[in-house]
Amino acid sequence: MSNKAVKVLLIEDNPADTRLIREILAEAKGSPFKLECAARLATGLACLAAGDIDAVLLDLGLPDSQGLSTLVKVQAEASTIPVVVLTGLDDEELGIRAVQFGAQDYSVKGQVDSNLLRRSVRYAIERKRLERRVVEYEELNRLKSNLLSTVSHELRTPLTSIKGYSTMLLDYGRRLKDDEKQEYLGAIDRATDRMTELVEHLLDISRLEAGLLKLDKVLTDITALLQTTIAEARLRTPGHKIVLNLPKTALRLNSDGRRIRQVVDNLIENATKYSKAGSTVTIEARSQDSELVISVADQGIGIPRENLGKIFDRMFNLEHRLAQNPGGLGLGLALCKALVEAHGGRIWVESELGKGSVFNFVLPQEAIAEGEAYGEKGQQSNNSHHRG
Amino acid sequence: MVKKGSRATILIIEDEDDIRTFASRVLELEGYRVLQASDGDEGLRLAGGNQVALVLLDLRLPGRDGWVVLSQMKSGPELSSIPVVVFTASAAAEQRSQALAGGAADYLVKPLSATSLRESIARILREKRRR
Repeated sequence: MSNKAVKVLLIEDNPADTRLIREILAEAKGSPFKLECAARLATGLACLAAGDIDAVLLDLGLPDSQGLSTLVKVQAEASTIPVVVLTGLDDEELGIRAVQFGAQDYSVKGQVDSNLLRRSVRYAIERKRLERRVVEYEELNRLKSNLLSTVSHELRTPLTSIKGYSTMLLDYGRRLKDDEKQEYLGAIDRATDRMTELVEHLLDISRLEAGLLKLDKVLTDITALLQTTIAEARLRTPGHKIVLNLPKTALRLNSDGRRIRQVVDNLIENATKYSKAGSTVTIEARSQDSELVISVADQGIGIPRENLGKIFDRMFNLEHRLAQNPGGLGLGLALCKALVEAHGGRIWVESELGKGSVFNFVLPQEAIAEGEAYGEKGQQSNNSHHRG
Repeated sequence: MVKKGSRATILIIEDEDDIRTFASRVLELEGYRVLQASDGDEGLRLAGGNQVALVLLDLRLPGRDGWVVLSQMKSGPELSSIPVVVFTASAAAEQRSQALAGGAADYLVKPLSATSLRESIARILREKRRR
């Protein structure tokens, strides 16, 4: 930043003021300023829309806009760009109000000393950067408290089973038949599994945030992995017809099988959650252009077009987690995306409302060395950290 | 324990199978007749015309959620006299007061022991009989 020219947009209709400011900024030693000028607000806004501006020097009295509304229009066009307002000698009050309205600073024309103006622009840029960071942290903080309340809710459900069935066995054990007792112990067991899964999921998310999600890549038999995954999914959701289409030749990939499985499991779980019992979920895998392509298609409710690009976004999922679909943290797809990307792959979805969704992911098939055995560690471990 | 022949009917509206089974089994062991619904619509349908004495209601339900069920029950003439005991994972104080203000007879927070469930139901039914 310090060696790059600071690109300043001056929106000012008075030619004398423009000339003066141009001279002041040209005097800067070291890191120079680059000035663009606009004599009307409309021209200025067009410059802002074109992008690349670091700061705006803004006269509030322009031929096509007067007063604080000039500032508001600039902020509406470019909310992330710092603004230093220029006011007349008799109108310092307006400058103060502009700062209250979100301008980063003001300068009084006629009192502008060259050091002061340059410093004001540089400070405004830094102040805006900090303001933005504060907003981001506030947002993150809010999302984290949301996550916290979702987590505590999700933990309460299995806890309710454990507390309920164990106190029931304590209170009524003598009146219950053995097979009924077995059933309730089974429910307690399932609930502890669910809690373990939630805790694992949370740990994955926090590893992801800290950039500590590591892959353990070995040559993996993807065909066998998918067959096991689908066999277990069929047991879990007997209401759905789960179909697996595989090519005749076995698919093998240098990858972290546990993580690939996690992605497939997650996609199947979503597919069954958002489609009616009795409908079909189709899993397909094939090798294509030195990539392994895996898709999970459902005949479910589909995803609105405007959300297609967003559903893999962690923030979005926290924000839009639907109360109608309890039973998860709403972060599964964000985790899928991170796991696929950590493998150097990509994931996307195609969907039609009311017809269903197809989730696809591709993983690059690295050249498999001759004689490399199953179970052997890959050499990828040092670049397998997920960044982001 | 409720006397034989005068078994009160309790409707449980809860989408989690294991939790619904737990609550209904405890209440059956206490001698009540139990009806079960796994979503709000089915719950509202069962609440009418089954001589339901009390509804145990989860708030977070698929489709019409528990809040809607509560307000619909309390706004119509036929169902408004049936006490509704809320059974929820949300311990937030404002939700509790919102539910009680909305006509809930009690607000039970998950997890819950068999004893607490049984005692709340028995107490609410006693209060109802006294009215």
